Amino acid sequence: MNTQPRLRLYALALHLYPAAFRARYADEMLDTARLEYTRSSHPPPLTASLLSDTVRSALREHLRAATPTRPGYLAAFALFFSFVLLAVAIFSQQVLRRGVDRQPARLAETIARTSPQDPSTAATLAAPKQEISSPAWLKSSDPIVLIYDPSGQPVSGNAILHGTLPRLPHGIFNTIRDRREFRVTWQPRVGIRVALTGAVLPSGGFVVAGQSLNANDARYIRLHAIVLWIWAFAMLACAILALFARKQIRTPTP
Amino acid sequence: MSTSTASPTDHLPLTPAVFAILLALADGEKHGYAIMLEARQHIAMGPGTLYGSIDRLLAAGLIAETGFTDDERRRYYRLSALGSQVLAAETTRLAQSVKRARSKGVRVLTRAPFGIPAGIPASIPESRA
Repeated sequence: MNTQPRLRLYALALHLYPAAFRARYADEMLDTARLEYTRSSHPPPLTASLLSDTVRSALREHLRAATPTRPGYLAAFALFFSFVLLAVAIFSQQVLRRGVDRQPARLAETIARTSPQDPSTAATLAAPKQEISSPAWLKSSDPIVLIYDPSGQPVSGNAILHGTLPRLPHGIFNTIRDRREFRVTWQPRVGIRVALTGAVLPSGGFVVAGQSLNANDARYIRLHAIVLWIWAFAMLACAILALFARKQIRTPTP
Repeated sequence: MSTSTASPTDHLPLTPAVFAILLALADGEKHGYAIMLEARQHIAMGPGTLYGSIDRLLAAGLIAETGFTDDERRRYYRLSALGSQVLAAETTRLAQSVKRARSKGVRVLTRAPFGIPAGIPASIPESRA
């Protein structure tokens, strides 16, 4: 029986292997198949057997060539994963931080659109003053509202710092005047962090609303701890897989 | 990767295909087809399985090319020193397993079990380990 068409089919099937493997072994494999056909008295079953062997071993070689447990791949994955987690941590921190701005921004915008004399604003300003440095306020999400004159001097508000209306750095007012609205983190003292949003009033003065960032900072710490644990676990898994991969490369496992 | 510092036992246990290939080379260098014919006395093996295993064995330093060829399509392979040690270690391991099986009264089959290709000896020789 003419075995040339069968050998041509087998030669075609060898293209299923990764290029490097094919370049190295295709001639030998073809020679082996040729000798097999020379010995065989039943070529059809042999062809089926050769093709089946080719499909299975080609798949194995592709998996071996692309296995993610190679130390180089693992190092690249570890680096990529670290960058992804860092990006997630930074992005989440930004999202949390901006979330804290939402309430003061709404309040400042409402007051700037109406006026400090508006009944609801007047009621807010007339409410009992909250001490910004008190642990109770720092832990809360209660907003504060402060009104400043055009020169940046405090006029009224529902919050005090060490017994007086808080004074803000003058640069803040210049920026509010330039941008019409300004969001900033104000830290008058270690341990006191306030998210402030300022807006210009129709009178030329300023309204500044704020909220404690301490509760948010606690959320950052929890988030960073979770990210750090995930990172440490992933790096440990990579290290274990790298050791396993080294053993796999040393130990032939056909 | 260098394997010169690898201990023979690091490679154990061998898969049946690897054991059959190393065993085929135990009595001298052979080309791929000759290895496959001999290995088939132990396990079903096609060219894909054979050359995939050869590639891994070369990478692991258990076999080496001789550099000699009588036909440009054929390469000859031989056991390396490490490969000989690994083969001896695996043979010892298997012999100990057989010895333990016998001590537990496991009987030797008089017929080749289903799935083992023709050519397998019908009985397992006594272990001398």
